[in-house]
Amino acid sequence: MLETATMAETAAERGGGYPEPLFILAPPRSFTSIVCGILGQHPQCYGLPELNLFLGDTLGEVWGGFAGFMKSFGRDGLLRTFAQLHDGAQNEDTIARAQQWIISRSDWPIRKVFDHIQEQVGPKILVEKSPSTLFRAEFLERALRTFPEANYLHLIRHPRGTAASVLSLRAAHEEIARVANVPMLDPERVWRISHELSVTLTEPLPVGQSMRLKGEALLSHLDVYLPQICEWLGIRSDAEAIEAMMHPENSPYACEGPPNAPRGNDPNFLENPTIDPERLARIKEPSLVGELSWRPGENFDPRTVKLARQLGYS
Amino acid sequence: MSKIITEDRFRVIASEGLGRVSNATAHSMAWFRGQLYIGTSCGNVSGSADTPRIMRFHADSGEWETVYESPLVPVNKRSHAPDRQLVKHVKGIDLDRYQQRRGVSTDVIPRDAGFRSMCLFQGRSDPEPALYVSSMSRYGGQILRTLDGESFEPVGEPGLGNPDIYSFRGLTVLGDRLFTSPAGTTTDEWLDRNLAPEMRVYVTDDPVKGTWEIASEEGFGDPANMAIYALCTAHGMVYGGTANPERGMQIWRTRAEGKPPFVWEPVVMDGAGAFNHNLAVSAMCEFKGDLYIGGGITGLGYDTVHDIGPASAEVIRIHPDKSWDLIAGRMRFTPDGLKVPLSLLGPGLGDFYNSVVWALGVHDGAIYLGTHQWESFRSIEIDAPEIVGGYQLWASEDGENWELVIDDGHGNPAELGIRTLASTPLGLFVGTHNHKRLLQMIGRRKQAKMDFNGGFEVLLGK
Repeated sequence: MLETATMAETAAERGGGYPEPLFILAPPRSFTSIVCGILGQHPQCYGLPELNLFLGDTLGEVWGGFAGFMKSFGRDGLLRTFAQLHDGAQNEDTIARAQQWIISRSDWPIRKVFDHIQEQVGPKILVEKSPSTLFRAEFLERALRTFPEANYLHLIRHPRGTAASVLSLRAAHEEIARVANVPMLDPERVWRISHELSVTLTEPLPVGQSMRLKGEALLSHLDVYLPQICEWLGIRSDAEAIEAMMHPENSPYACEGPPNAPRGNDPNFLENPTIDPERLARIKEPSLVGELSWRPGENFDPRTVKLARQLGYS
Repeated sequence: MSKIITEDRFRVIASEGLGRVSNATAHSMAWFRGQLYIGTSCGNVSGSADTPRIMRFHADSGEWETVYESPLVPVNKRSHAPDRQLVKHVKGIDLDRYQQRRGVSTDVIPRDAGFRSMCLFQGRSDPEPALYVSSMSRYGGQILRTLDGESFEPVGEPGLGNPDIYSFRGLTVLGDRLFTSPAGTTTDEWLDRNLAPEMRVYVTDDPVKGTWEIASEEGFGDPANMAIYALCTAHGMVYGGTANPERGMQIWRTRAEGKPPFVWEPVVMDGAGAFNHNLAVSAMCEFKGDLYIGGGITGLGYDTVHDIGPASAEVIRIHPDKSWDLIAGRMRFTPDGLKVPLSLLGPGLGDFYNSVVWALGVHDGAIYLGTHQWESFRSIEIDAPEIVGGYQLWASEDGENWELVIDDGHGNPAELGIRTLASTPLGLFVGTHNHKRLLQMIGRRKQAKMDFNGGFEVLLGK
């Protein structure tokens, strides 16, 4: 094991400090739920649902922020987290108590909220993956400002694959389609803007603080990439740790929540959080060339192609 | 005690292009018959005053002697076809008008723009080791040969039969064979100094006969490879590095056994995990049993034709078993494992403006690395109060711990790059590239102050 393998423990021992969190940066439908679920099951990590904490400076701003997003399903992750951590269970009562807890602390800065979660969890690396962090530059800037020492994993997925997944989700969930089927949320545009933002703001970080990884490569070769992620984070990469990561379904957040907070993660993941190695091994990267199914007669914008090639797609 | 030559032990032995300031680059160097030879080049030859030369250094007197000059030839359509990369970098500037103001003759111009590569080789028809030199020419690059260092004769046809080939790079010897690859394309409409019409390696055991055989499949079998960008021998094999705008540089190698074309095997793909930001292999060199490779995007870190970049240079090294290390660059996950930059230096060796590693060389137990650093262009673009930047020379005794030997173009921000390095019994020679001419063209509009020298320099460290 590398010298860094005990980084998490060492940090925890140092004056009561905790290890730095890991934030997964990606737009919606980029394998973030399954990846967060996998990493979060490492014995030295704790996977969180989508907290959307970077939408505001305080818990109150987050709670009421970003138009209908938080009110529709953006709050579920926070509610489920506090229900689980405060009461050890997620049901309608504990969710209701979590809501009261949140409302009565609306002036808490988000760092304080996060620190509170960390204290509840203990000396484990918190793994968080809210796609909303890339909704606006100010959200990612807030993340980088609030957690200047955190690790950032920029998770990418081919723009055609991402778009197909977005469209499929919208087709299956009317309430999502109602909000999302607008030109501004064209899947190609969201992909490009989100990844441009992530590349631009994480590129200047010190060597190794931000890492980039293709979701397709990771999921189709978990045996190759999971040990590398462990090595990067300075946590165990032994067989026991890797085996634990192969079971994201063991997370308390890897299922549908109670009726008053059912989501907090991708609906498909909540429905079926178990890894199917054979299915994952079949993941292939589509092509940048060719007509877009959702905009007949059109191809990818040259800016999208340029960025996708930079990220390793062809 | 460190073997690395420190900056105070380098002295300038040639400056201002040795009397021709438009000769911006000391492009190639070789130690031949106990003397140093350099091949100069001019980015935009317009008349006899720009004529590139092959020059010889007399160490005892410190003087330089011209041993070969490009002949002058009548101007034709190709003579001033625009450089398709440069045109986009300097859009808005009328290059022809600039030339007229310099009062240059437009009837005849030098046939060659410079001399790109040099190598000692003894072919079947050579009675003794000869110096082979490849030229860059809009009329088809040629390979020259000299036995005595004074008489240079072309061997083979321009472009080895394809007059659209601008040059040949990486003259490389393995055993009794000489390898090279086409570099650049010249047409009536445009010039590309790097990407060639043929993406092949050529080989011969008798260059005097002018017969070269195809040594590799086109683009090593990948149509996205736009050029074989560098050649080098290491581990008893020939390594070839490509430029690939879609997926990034590739590195292939062959033992060159049997008759050509040879069997090549892939060593590193996909820009070593940096994809097309490692657009091309720009320099290679064997050191202490490993092959060191510089990658990046040539020029100002941005490929205008394929719209790639901006990006900064990276360095990797390859072991004989094909495994590889990241020496400087962005830390990353790869199919070959986690790659941490062993030097702890990020892209550009920590300097964003180091767009490419342009030269690698070994001297007296240390490896040296020369960069192309384009911050001076940025200084003008942003109206900085002072023009800053210039090449960097780095060195390492173990390939992992690198120290900056010379910074900021040795005091001249127009000295953008180190183009060539030569280890000799006299010491380490460093040949530079000076971009004052282009900086002036861009800076004129902004009244930028440019009181520094133009023309290449040669430094000698010992």
